[in-house]
Amino acid sequence: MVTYREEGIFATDTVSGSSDVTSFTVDIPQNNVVSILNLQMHFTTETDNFQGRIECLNSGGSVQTVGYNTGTYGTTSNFGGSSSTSVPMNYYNLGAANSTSFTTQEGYRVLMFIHNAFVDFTYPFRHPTIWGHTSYELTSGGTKLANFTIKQKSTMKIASLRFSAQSGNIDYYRATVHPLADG
Amino acid sequence: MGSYTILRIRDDGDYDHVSISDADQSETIIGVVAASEKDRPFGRLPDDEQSYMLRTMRNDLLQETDWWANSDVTMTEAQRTYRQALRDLTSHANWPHLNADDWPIKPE
Repeated sequence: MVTYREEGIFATDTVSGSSDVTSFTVDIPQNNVVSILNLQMHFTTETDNFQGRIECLNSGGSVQTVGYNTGTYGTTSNFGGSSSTSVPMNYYNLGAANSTSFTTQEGYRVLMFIHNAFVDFTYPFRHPTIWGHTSYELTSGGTKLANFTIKQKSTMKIASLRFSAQSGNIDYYRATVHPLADG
Repeated sequence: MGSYTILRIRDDGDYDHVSISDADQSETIIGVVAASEKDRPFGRLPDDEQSYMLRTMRNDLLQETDWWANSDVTMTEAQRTYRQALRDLTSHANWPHLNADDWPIKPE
């Protein structure tokens, strides 16, 4: 059941931190059709091809193999494939090391939807799916938008998501998970 | 409730990779990370994924400067060097795990 409160939809999990971590994990409702995850995080590394990365964990804490695709709006290329480890949530152009165009404040905001239930063992609706939008700033004042989608290859529900940096640490993060619709 | 992971230095100079529960702050050591790899506590990306990613990025950077080669534009030596350095990246000694300063700097 989705509960609405004065401040918005009830959050099933909220995590935050402001000291260096190598990763953080948030729990995902397993009994809802769709959840929303609202995330912002900041990285300690500054390189042009830098990525924030995400892993799907099952209830036993095991990383799930996924298919994925990530692209940035306005570019012709993208990353995609299959991975049994973490996958990117943004295409490149996040860093500042080799470009004067990009902010030294490497970090971004992500809004994602997790379609975790209604798994009826029939293609194309067999596997839990995530899709999201990643927004980050340029020093020019503009912004970049990356889109990504992840499809878990097993039918196990996603119990939690783990976020990490391609290299270095995350020195600020805040994430909230909200159920959007009942399963 | 979620959890987070940190690196905690050991007596031998390497790091324990520690998972901490948000609920009760209980700790579990999930691995040991060598001091030389402390920026990659979860390991390097597989070579094929890293190569694919960097080639894609390199190709985009070349495409962004294709107009320098237009017949009505004269390419400077710095621009020519930059584009050649991008083409040569795949034979760099650090390929496919390039450091930030292994990338050529785009001339103004």
